[in-house]
Amino acid sequence: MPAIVIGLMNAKPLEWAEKYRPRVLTELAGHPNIVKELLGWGQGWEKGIPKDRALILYGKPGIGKTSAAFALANQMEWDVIELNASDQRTASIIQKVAGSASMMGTFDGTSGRRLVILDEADNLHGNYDRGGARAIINVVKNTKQPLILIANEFYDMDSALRLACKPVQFRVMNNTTMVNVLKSICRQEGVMAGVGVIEQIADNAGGDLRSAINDLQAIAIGKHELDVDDIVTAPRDTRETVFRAMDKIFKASDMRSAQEAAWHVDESPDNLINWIDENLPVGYTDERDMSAGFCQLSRADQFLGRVRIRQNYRLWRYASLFMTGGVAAVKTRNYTGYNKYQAPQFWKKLGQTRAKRNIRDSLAGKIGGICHVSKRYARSDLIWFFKHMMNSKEHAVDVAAELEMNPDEIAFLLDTKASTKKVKTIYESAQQLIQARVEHDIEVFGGFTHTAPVDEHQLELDLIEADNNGDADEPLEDNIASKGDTKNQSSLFDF
Amino acid sequence: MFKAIIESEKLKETIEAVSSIVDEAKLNLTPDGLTIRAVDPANVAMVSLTIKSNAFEEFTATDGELGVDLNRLSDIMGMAEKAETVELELDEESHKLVIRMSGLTYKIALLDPASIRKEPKIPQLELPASITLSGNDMKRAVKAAEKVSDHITMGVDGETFYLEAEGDSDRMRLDMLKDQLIGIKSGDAHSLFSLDYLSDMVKSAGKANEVTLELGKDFPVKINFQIAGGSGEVNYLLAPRIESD
Repeated sequence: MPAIVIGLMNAKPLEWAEKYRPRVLTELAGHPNIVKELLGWGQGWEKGIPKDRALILYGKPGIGKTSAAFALANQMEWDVIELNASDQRTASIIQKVAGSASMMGTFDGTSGRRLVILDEADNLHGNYDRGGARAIINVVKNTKQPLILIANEFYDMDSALRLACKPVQFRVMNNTTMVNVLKSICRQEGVMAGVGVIEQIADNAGGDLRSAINDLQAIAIGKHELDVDDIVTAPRDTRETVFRAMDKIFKASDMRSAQEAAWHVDESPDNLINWIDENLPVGYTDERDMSAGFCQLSRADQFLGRVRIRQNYRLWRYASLFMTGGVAAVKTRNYTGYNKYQAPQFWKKLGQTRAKRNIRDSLAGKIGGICHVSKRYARSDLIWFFKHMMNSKEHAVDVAAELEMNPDEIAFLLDTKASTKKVKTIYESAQQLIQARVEHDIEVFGGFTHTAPVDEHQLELDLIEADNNGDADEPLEDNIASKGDTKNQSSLFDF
Repeated sequence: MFKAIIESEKLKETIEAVSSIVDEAKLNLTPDGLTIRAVDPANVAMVSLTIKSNAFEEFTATDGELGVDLNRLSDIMGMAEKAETVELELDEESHKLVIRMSGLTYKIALLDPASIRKEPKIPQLELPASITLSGNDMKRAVKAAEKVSDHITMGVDGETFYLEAEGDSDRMRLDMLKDQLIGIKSGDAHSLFSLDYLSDMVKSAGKANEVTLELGKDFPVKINFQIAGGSGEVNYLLAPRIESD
C-alpha cells in the first residue's frame, strides 16, 4: 500500500511542476549522490533508529529538496506529515504536531515509519512563529521517527539545530539535466519544441528547475509547436547575496546597475542602508568619495524617516535611489579588487549600548523637566552643555543636586564609571546639599502646621540620611526598617 | 439539499467527538444520516463517526459534503439550551449553513471541502484483545494516569485489564479485574499511548455507558462507543507511542 501523501497526489494537478514531480527517488533529476545517500538513510530506519535521526536538506529554491523528501517517503512506503511556512509554527503547534508525529508510531503499529518534514525551516517568522526554533530543536533531539528539515540558507538556522542534524547540500542544477527534464515533459505533453527553445528556457532559469518548468508551461499554453520567438518570459530574477550587491553598488559604473543590484537582494531599504553604511568605508577608500557617499546615505535616511513618520512606503523608492544609485554616482574614480564586506554592527551595538542609552534618556527627561523642553531636544541639544558644567568643580555639585542625579547619571556625564571616587564625591556632596535644603524648607514651612505634609518630609529625610553611604539600593531598605521600628511590633527574637 | 432537526445535546456530543481530533471536518451526507472521518494534523489519531437519520427528529438530505469549522459550530451551539431542538439547513444559494434555535438564527460560512485535509483510509486492523468497560471508569483511569505522566501503558494480563503510567519519579498502576469490567477477551496486548490524545478522546467516551477498547502488542488502540442515544457510533484509532530504549 503506498503511503498517504498529503497535498501531493491531489486529483488533477494543473501545474506541470506538480504533475511531473518525481514520485520515487530514482526519478529525481540531477542529484545522483544525494539519491544514494537518502536511500541509505531510509534503509537505516528499517533496521531501527539510526545514528542520524534528522537531516537538513539545503540549497536554492526549485532544485528538488522537497521533492526528494516526499519521493523518499513514497519509495519507503512511509507515512508523511509536513509543516511549512503556510502553517503557523509556534512552539506549541510544533510540539503538538511535529512532536507527536515524531514520537508515535503509525496506524500500523510502533514499527510503522512516518517521515516528518519541516519545510522552510530557516524561515520561522518572528512573533508569528514564536518559540518555534527552540521547539524544533527539541523535536530533533527526541525524535523516534525520520525527520527532514528543508532550508534555503544553511547558516540562517540556529547553530544548535545545525549541529543536531546531518546536512545534505543540494547544488544548483546544471543546464544539461534541466534540458533533459524539460524535453521529457514536452514529449509527454505532446509539445514540439524548436531548436534552441528548451536550451533558452533552461538558461533563463539559472538552475531553478521549478521556474524552468513553469516558464515552459506558460509558453506552451494552447500551442503544440514552440519557437524561440515564443519565449516571452524574461530571465528569472535571481536572488543574490547581500555581499555581492555591496560589491555591485560600490563598483557600479552607472546608477541603474547599482539600483538593480539592490532589487535582487532580499533586504528592505531600512535594512540595506545599514549594510551600505557599514561597508562604505570598505568600498570607498578615497576620503572625498567616502564623505560624498555618506552624504547620499544621509539623504536616503531622511526619506526613511519620512516613511516612518508618514507611513507612506512609496517614499522608499527615493531612499533606495539615494542609497544605491546616489552612492554609486558620487565616486570620483573606479574601484577594483576584492573587498571584505561585513554584516552591519548597528543592531549589535544597539543591544550593547542599551543600558547606557537608558541612562542618557532618563537624564534627558530630568533636564527637559527643569529646562521646560522636550526630552528629545534635551537629549540632542542640551546634554553636551550639562557635560561641560559637570566637568567644572564650581557647578558639578549644584547641578547634580538640582537634577537629583544618581551615580550612573553623574558617571555618564563625566564619561567615567559609577564606581570612581570622583563620581562618589559629587554624589555625596549633592545629597548633602539636598538634605540641607529640605531641612531649611522644614524650618521655614514646618512651623505652620503638623499635618500630613510635614510627615512626608520627615519620611524623605529618613531616606536621605540613610542614603549618605552612597549606595542607591540601600535607602529603600533602611526606610522600610525604620518604618518597622515605629510600629513597635516585637519579634520572637526580642525575648 | 440538507435539512435536519436535532436535540442540541446530541449535536453537541457529535461535534465534541470530532473536534477533539481536528478543527475542520468534512460532513458526508447521505439520505440515511451523516458520517465524518478525519485524521489529526500529526497523523496519529483518527476518528470515524456515524449518525443515523433516526437520531434526528427530522432529516432530509441528498448525497453531498459540507466543510465545517468545528470550533465555530461548537461556539454557536453554546447558545443552545439543553433540552432545546436545533434546526440545521443548508442555504444552497449562499452556500451557508443556517442554524435556528428558539428565535435565534445564525448563518455560518462553510469551508470548501477541497481545502480540508483528505479523509484517511481506515486501516483494517485485527486486534487480539478487547475490553468493554463503563465510560466513567475509562475516564477515571486516564485522569489517574495524568497525575504522574504524559503517557500510559494499556495491556491485558490473563483476564485483568491493566493501565500503567510512569513519570520521572512516580508511578501509577490500575488493575481492573473481570468483575469490574463489562466484558473482556484476553489476548497478547501491551502498548504505550500519549495521554494528551487519550484525555481528549475520553472527554466524549467518558459519557458513554459502554466503551470498547481493542488492543494489541505495540499496536494502535481502537476506542468504540455509542452517542446520540444509540443512533450514533464513534470509532477512534490512536497510534502507539514508540517506547524509549
